[in-house]
Amino acid sequence: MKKHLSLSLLFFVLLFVCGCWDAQDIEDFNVPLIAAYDLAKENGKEVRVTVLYPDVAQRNKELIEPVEGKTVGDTRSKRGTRFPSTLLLGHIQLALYGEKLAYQGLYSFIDNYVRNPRIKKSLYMAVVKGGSYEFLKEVHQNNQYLGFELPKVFSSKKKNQFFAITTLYDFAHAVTTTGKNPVLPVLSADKRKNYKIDGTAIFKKDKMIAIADMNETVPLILLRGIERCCGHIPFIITKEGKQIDKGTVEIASQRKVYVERKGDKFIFHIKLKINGRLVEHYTSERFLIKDANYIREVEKAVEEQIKRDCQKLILKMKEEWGVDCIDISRFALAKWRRELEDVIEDEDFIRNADIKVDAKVNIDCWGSGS
Amino acid sequence: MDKDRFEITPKQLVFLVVGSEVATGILSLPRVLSAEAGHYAWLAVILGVTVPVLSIYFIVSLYKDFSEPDFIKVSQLLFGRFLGFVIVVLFSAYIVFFQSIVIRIFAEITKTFLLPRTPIFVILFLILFSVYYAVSKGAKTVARLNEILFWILLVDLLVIIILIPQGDWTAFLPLNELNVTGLLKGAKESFYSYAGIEFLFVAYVMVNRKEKILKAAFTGQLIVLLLYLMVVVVSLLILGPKSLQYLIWPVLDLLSVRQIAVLERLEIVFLVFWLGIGARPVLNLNLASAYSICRLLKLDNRKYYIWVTLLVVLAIYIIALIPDNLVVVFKLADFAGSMFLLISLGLPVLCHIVKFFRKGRIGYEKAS
Amino acid sequence: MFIFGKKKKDKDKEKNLSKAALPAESAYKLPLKLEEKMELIQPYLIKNDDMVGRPFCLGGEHEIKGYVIHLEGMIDNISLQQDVLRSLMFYACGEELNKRGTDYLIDHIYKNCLNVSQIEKVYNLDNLLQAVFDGFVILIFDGISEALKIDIRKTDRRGIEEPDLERALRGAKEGFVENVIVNTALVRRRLRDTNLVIEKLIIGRRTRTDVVLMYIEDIADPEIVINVRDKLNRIDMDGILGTEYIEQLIEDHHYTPFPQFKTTERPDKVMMELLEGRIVIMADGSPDALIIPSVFNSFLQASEDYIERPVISFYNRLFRYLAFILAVSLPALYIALLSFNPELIPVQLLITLAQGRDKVPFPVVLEVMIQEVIIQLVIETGLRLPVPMGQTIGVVAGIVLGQAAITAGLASPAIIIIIAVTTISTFALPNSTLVMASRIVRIFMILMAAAFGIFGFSVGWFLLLTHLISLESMGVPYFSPYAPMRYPDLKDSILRGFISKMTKRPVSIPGQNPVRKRETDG
Repeated sequence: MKKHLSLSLLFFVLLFVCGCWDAQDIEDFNVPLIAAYDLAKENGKEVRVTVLYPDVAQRNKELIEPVEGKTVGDTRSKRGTRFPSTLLLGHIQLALYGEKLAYQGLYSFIDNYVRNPRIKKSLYMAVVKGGSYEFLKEVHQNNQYLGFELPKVFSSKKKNQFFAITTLYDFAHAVTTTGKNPVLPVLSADKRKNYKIDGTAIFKKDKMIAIADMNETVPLILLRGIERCCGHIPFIITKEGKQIDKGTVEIASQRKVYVERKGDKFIFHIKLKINGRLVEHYTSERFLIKDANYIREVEKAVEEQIKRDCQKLILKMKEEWGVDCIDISRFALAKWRRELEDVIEDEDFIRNADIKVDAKVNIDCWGSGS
Repeated sequence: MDKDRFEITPKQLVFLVVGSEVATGILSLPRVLSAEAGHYAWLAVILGVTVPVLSIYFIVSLYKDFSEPDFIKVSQLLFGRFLGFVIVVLFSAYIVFFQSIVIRIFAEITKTFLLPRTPIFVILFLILFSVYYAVSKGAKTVARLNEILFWILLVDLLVIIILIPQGDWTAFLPLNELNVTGLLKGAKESFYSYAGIEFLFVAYVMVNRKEKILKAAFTGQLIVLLLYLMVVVVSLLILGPKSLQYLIWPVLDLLSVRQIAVLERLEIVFLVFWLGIGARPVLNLNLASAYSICRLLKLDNRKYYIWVTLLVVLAIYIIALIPDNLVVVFKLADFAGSMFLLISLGLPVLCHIVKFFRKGRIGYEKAS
Repeated sequence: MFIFGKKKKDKDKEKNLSKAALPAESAYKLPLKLEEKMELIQPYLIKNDDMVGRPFCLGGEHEIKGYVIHLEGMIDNISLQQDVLRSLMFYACGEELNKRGTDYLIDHIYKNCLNVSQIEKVYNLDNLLQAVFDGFVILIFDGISEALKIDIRKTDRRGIEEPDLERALRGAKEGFVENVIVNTALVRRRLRDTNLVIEKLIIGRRTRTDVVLMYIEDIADPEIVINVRDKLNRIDMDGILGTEYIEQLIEDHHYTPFPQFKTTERPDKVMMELLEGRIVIMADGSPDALIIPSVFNSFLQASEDYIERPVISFYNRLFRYLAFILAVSLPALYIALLSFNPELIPVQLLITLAQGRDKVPFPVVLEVMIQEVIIQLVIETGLRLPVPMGQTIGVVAGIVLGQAAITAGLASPAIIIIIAVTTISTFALPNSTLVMASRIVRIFMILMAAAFGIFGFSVGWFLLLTHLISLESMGVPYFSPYAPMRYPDLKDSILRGFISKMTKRPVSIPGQNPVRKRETDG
C-alpha cells in the first residue's frame, strides 16, 4: 500500500510540474461567427480573410476585420500582429466565399477546415456575389447582430424555404465522392444594404461554374431531392386561356430516381412525390367542400408547373452547364459502378443522358377554410 | 495461485473479449477496409471474423484436455521447458509491442482532437498511469471494469445510429461487381482489427466455469462483429468509400456531420467517454502479459505482480514513444497485425500439431 | 483487494493472541481471609474516589463478615439496598454452615439468597477488579475465596428520539441511543425471529467497550460472519470510541475517501438490512449501527425510498446519482470547457461567459479554486457554530460574499452558480462520509481538468471508476450491482422495483436463504 501511495504522489508531482499546455481561457479569444474569403488581388495569389466576431469587452458590438496573406494560415499569423486576441475557430457558423474565389476552386480553402478537428463540420457555406468582405461590411451597417442572424438564415429556415443549404461536410463529401457535385447558396446585398439569398451556385467539383437564379433554384432543389425540402409554391389555374384562380401551396417533396440503359444511352426517370398543403387561393366563390374536382385541378396545376420548371432546368443543365447538379449520377453508379466510375464526371455523360421528370402532387390538407 | 484476485466468470469473459478487441482500430476501420474492398467493406468485416472464431475454437479445444489449462504450463509441457519458456516470452513481447502501438494511436487521436499542444509523452503517461492503476488491482477489477465500460462503449457507439436516415444507400451498390482480390485484401486488413483475442490464451485458466468458455467467447466475438459491422455500414452510408480515404479517423468525423443541440460537438463528447474504451485492450492484455511473466518466473503473485505490471507498462511506454509519426505507427500496426495472425492462428495450430504427435508420450492428459 | 504480506502477519498475530488468552483462573486464586483480600483491593480504593464500599455482616448465627464494592453512579442504588444488602443482612442464614462448610455458604447465597437476575462467581483478583470497573457490584466474604459479581448497572441515557441526520417524512421516528443494550432491544422488538443472533464482545483493552454483533443465522453468509468476528477479535487496541473506530479498524481499504460500511441510526433500517443478510455491529457509546457489507449503491439510497411509492423513489434516486456526478465533476467540467474546449459551449452562452470573465484577473482554475476554498470555509464554519449562528454565516456567505465577489472582480457570475450548484449537490447525498468523499474527489477532478482539460476529466473519472470498482466491502464488490453486473439486483439500484416483485434477497450480498417473499401473495 505504501508503494501505491508513493506512486500516486509521484503522479501528482508530475501533474503539477507539467504545464497546462493547452489551457487558454475564453476571455483571451475572439469568437468569430462568420469567416469570409476573397481573392486579395486580381492575380489570385493572395487571399483576404475577413472575420466577424462579437466584441467581448463591449456588449452589442460586432467587429469585422480583414487580413490579407499568402495562405489562410498566413492571415492568422498576420492577424496576431494587428489584433491582441487569438481566434477561436470552433464557433465559425458560416463561411462565405467571394464569387471570384469560387470560380477559382474552393477546395484549397476548405482544407484548413476539414483538417482542423476543432472546426465543426456542420458550418454553413455560401457564395457571395461580388466580394465577401464588401458584402459583410455593407450588410453589417444595417444589422448590428449579423453574426448571429446570418447563420440562422441557414439553420432555422430549413423547413420552409427553397434554397440549397450546404454544410462543410456536404460540400467536402460531394467534392470527394465520384458522381457528386455540390451546390451552394448565393448571398447578395441589395441597394438598401440588406442581405438576401439570391440563387444557387452550381459547382463542378470544387469549382463554381455558374449561378442559377432564384427561379431556377426551386426546381433545382426539388430535383436534387434534398431530404424533405419544404417551401411555398404559387400556382395559377387557367381554363381555356383564362386565369380562373391562383394561390399558394406549401409542399414537401421526395425524390425517387430510376435508371435504365439502352445501349450507350442512360435514361433517368426522376419521380417527385410531392405532398402539399393549400395555403391560399384567391377566388372566393369556389368551395373546396362542394367541388370535388377543385383540389385535383390545383394538384394538376402545381404538377404542370413543377414539371415545366424542372424540364427547363434540366435543359439548361445539359446544354449550358454540362454538369450533374441534380445528384443523379450516383444512381447510375449504383448499377454500373466499375464501368462508369471513370467517365461519369465527363461533361458528355450528362449531356447525352436522357432525363425524364415525373411529378405527382398530392394536396392532402387544405386547412379549415371550406 | 492467488485465486481471489484472478478469477473471472464466463459472463465477464464475454465483456473481456469485446474489450480486448474493440479499440482505437474501430475509428479508422472503415477507411482501412474501404481502401481495399471499396463498397464491400462490410463483407470484409464479416470475412475477417473467421480468424478470431478459428482462434477461439483452437484455443478452447487445445486446453480442454489439460487438467491445468495454464498457458505457461501447457506450453512448457508441449514444447519442453526451454522452448516453452521462449514461446511465453515471445508472446509477452508481442503483447507489449502490440499494445504500445494501440496506446500510441490512442494518444495520437487524443493529441489531434483534444490536446494539440500537449507533448505526446505526457498524454501517454496519463493513459498508461490509468492503465497501470487498474491492472495492478488484479483480474477481477479488470474484468469488472470491462463489464461497466462495455455499456459505456455501447451507448457511445450506438450514437452514430442517429445518422442512418441521412445516409445514401447507393454507396453499397452495385452488389454484383465483386472485386475478389480487393475484398480479400480488405478481409486481411479486417483480421487485424480483431487482434486481442489472443488474450484468451492466458484468460482461459482464470475463468471459473470452463465448460462455458466457448459459448462466452463466441458471444463476445459476435458482439464485436456487430459493432464493427455497424460502424462500417454507417460510415459507408454517410461518407461513402471514396470520401473515407480523405479522413484518418472517419468515425470521429462521422459524428461531427450533424449538429446536436446542447452537446454542440458530438465527437468531443464521444472522446470523453473514449478513454476507458481505447485503453481497455491494453488493460486486458497488460494483465495477460504481467500474469504470464509472473507465472513463468514463478514469482509470488501477491508480492511481485504489481512490480511486473509496472515493468510491462514502462516497456509499453517506451516502445510507444519510439515511432516518429503517424505513418510509422500505422506501418508498425500493420506489422503487429501480421504478428497477430501468427500468434492467434499459428500458435494454437502448432500446439495442436505437437499435441497430436506427442500424444501418450507425456503424461499431461486428464486421465493421468 | 490488496493483501500482500498481510496473511503472514495475521498468522503471527493469531499466535500471540492465543497465548494471551490463556485462562488465568486457577493461577491467582483469591485469598480466603477478608483482610487479605481487602489488602489487595485497598490500593485501588485509595486511588479511586468513585470506588466505594462498605463492610457488612451476613445475617444468621455466624457473623461472617463481608464487603461490598462498586463504583459510584454506575449502579442502581435502590436495587443494591433492597435486593442485595437487605437480603444478605437479614436472610442469608448460614444454618448448616458448620455441617457443610463455607463452600455451601457461597452456593447458598448464589442460589437462594440474592434476588437479582444476573449474578456470577469471580475467582481471581484481576477479574474482580475488572468487574468493579465494568460497573458490577462485587461481594467478598470472609473465609470464602470466591467473590460474587452482581449486575445491577444503571446508566443515565438519552431518550429515544428521531435521529437528526436521518429524518424521514413517513415511517418510524425512533432512533438509536448511545446505550447498546437499549439499541439491541430496539432491534429485537422489531425482529422477533428466533434466528436473530446477538453476540456480545468486549473490545478495547482499557475502555472495555461493549460491542454487539447482530445477524440472522439462517440468512447471513457464515463466511462473512466468521470473517467479521475474526476481525473484531483481532482488534487489540487500548480503546475504541464506538462504531466509528470499529469501522476503520475492520475495513479492507484504508487509502480511500469512500466509506465502506454504511452507518444508520434507525432501528427499522437495521432490521431491513439484517433481513437482506447483512451483519450489523453496534457499540456502546455511539448511536450508529455499522452495516456490513455495504455497496456504493446503498450509500445513495435513503430509508424513505422503501416507504415512498416506487416511481417517486426512482425519481429521487435518479437525482441522488445526478447529485453525486455533479458534486464530483461540475467545477472540473467548467474548467475543462472554459479553458480547453470552448467549442463545446453554445456560442451565445460562450459570449456571455467570456464577458463575465473579462473583468476577472485570474485564470479559470484559480477562480474556481478561490471559490471552492471560500465555500469549504463557509461549510466548516457552519458546522462548528451553534445552529442560529451557523444560519447567519450561511446567509452572509451565500448572498454577501457571492455578490461582493462579482462586484469586486474576483469571480464571474457563472462560477458562483457553478459552485452553488456543486455545493447543493454535495449535500443532497444522503451519507455524510460520502459528502466528505465527494469534496475530496472534486478537488482531484479540478486538478486533472486544470492540467489536461476534458481529457484529464475523462482520466479522472476513469481512475475514480477503477477505484470504486476495485474496492471491496468485507469481500463484497463495492460497485455491484453495476460492476460486476448483478442483473437481479438492478431492480433495486437506481430503480426501485415494487416491493411485491422483490421476491429474492439481493445477490450482491452473499447469503444462504435467497427467497424473501413467496411469489403468490401480494
